Amino acid sequence: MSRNKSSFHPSFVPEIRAGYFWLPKDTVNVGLTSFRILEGNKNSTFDQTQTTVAKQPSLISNNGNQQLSYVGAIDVPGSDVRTITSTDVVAGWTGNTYLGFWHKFPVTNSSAPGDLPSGATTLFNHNKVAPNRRWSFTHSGTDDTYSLTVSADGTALLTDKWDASSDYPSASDNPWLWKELILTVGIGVQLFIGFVLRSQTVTAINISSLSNSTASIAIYSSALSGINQNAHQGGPIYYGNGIPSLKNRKRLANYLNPRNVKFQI
Amino acid sequence: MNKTIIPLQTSQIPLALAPNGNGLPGPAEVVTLFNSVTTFGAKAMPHYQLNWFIFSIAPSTNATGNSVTGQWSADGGTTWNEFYASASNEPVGDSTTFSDEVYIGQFQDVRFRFNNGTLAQATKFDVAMALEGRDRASSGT
Repeated sequence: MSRNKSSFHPSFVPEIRAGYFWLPKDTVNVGLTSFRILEGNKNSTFDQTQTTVAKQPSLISNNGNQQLSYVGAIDVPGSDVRTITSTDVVAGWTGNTYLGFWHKFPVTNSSAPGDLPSGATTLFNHNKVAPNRRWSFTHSGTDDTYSLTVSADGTALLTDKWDASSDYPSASDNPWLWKELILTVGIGVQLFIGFVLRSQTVTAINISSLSNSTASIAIYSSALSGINQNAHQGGPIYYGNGIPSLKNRKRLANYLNPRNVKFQI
Repeated sequence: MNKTIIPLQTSQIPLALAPNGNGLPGPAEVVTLFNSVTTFGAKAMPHYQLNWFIFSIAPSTNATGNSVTGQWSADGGTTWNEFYASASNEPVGDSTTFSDEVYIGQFQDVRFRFNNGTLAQATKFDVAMALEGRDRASSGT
């Protein structure tokens, strides 16, 4: 018998406890300049902020749980959040790193209903311009790919790419997808979608350590100046210090799940 | 009985109970995380058929001596005997957080305590705890 949804909390996963996570339900002060998405381990300098009300993402609900909805750049000014500039944050580790989150490209783009994603969209960014580069996971509508860019020294970049063309929504499906990146230093990086390995890799990341740069963190948006080209939506997101066990990865996926599916543990 | 999450936030600790006045554990202070005698009454825990105590703690200060210990009692909380002591370092190697699940199914009463090290907690003391009654087996982490 496995733990049920209500009896699990991400804090019980050691790698997430030693890392960072954000749950959309922990969003406070929507519509105020004090808007925050609280970091789950109560590291307040890692809270996500946006003082401009028009640029705040909105809260939506799927499967009885809350998610964040961002509008693209065509809807001026577009949504973005990040750790505030004055509190650039250091992750605190350089080894194996995990990123897991629920994500969806909307069926109807608020800017151009029915359009497939185009241009650049940032899914998770802990990064700055050189010499403070660390980790940036983006999507390109131009060539239908996901890209992870990392740096070992804060300056030089390495990038992996995976095909994304099968992840776009149609009018009839529910395109909420559980996306995971697993970086094993000295080995490489893998992208899983719904626990299935996405194999297409154009280039290869193989680094001995990840830069521990001082940089802003932005979830579902860029920590730099660029606003996402696409509307998109995101659920709970986990940035792990190490790689959780497969069972714990499934527990994370099932927790506050925006989609009516459950991964068997 | 399903597992129940027991979040403990610093702000919930009455200031009168916090020796250093800010709700955070002070130097060498011992904080009781869970005591079945207080919660259920003496020798009453077996009625609840609990199997696991699960905890995760993120202190803000990583001081020498920070640890979690577990004790059992057969006389309703008069005498306590230690049966569990946390590792000094987390499996992930960051040496700052404590997470574990401890089997308690064979005991009449248990209590778990956080033993603060030589330095006071500076900014936060974040605790998540759960009592698990459904699963006989470990969660398999």
